[in-house]
Amino acid sequence: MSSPNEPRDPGAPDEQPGTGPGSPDSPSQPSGPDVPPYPAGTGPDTPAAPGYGQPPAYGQGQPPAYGQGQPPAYGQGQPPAYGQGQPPTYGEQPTYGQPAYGQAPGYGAPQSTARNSLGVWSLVLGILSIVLCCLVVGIVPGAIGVWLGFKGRSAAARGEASNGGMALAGIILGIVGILASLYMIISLSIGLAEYGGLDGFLQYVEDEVERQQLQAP
Amino acid sequence: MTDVRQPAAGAGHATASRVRRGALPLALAAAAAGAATLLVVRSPYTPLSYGFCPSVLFLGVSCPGCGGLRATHSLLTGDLAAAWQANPLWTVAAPLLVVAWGVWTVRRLRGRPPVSAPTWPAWLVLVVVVGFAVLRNVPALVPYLGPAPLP
Repeated sequence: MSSPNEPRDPGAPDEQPGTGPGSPDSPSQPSGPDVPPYPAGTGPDTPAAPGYGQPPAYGQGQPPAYGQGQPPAYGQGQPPAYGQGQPPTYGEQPTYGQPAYGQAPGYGAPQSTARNSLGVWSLVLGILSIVLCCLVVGIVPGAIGVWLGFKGRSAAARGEASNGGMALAGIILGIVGILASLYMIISLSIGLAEYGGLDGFLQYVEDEVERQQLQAP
Repeated sequence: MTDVRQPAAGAGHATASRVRRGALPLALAAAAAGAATLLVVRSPYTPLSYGFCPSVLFLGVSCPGCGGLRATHSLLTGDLAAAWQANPLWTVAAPLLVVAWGVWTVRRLRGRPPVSAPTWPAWLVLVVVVGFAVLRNVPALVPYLGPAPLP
């Protein structure tokens, strides 16, 4: 698994993913069922793959249960349910994530997905602030998106989220949406100045309203 | 949460931190209440009382927020049908936002960890709003989704 491409023929890697993890021809991996999700991204550059054999000591299927089961239990936020539904080792979540994943150098920073919704909401609100960029409407989701984006960045820095880039995109798009909203306001202000104050601009706007309502009855 | 605090020593600290945590939700609520009062007193159904939507003016398309002021006014005055005609998405979303604000505020005041919701509602919101923005500019759907013409 550590070097799937080097010693094999071109025909061998085709059957290697199917037969390798379950077959007994690779006895060096103690955690056979846990190998298939990982060698795609991290296999060639992780010499410490046996170090990943530690999580089965906590229980079988540990990394999928950690990634999937964790966010709903955390979202409920009930400390009794949080303690009951999970194994006791989840109680110290940050300390668990660092030693267990930190021993495999290929995985980079130890990151959970428990607070990924911050970055997702930041990105979505950043997009919506651009869509809703008329007057003050876009400022509201833009500001909330920027705020959630910074929270998502700090959560990613603490290892509680894995989508720091998405949160950064949310911050940028939220700022763009706020600027677009301000641009709309400034445009109206310039329009007020160009069309001779409020009365002239309102006359222009009324003409424009009539013209557009005739276009779309 | 509150039962683990020491009653004598933790009371003052708990009250202070509760005030500090509740400042942001209450400030938002005050701003929203002020805007709602303004919208009730000064009706947006009066033409050009709040200017005009720049996206319609400059781009000729109705953004998802067009009709939102009128919908808010109608919601606050209890006219649900008029709110639906002005902006159906906001008519649905505004009560949900109020509920979300309530949940967020209660959790903040109680010192619970912040809500970490699953990510699919965010993508659902994005799809719904962008889809609404597109559909309400389809000429055949303007009578159903578009803002009602100004009186």
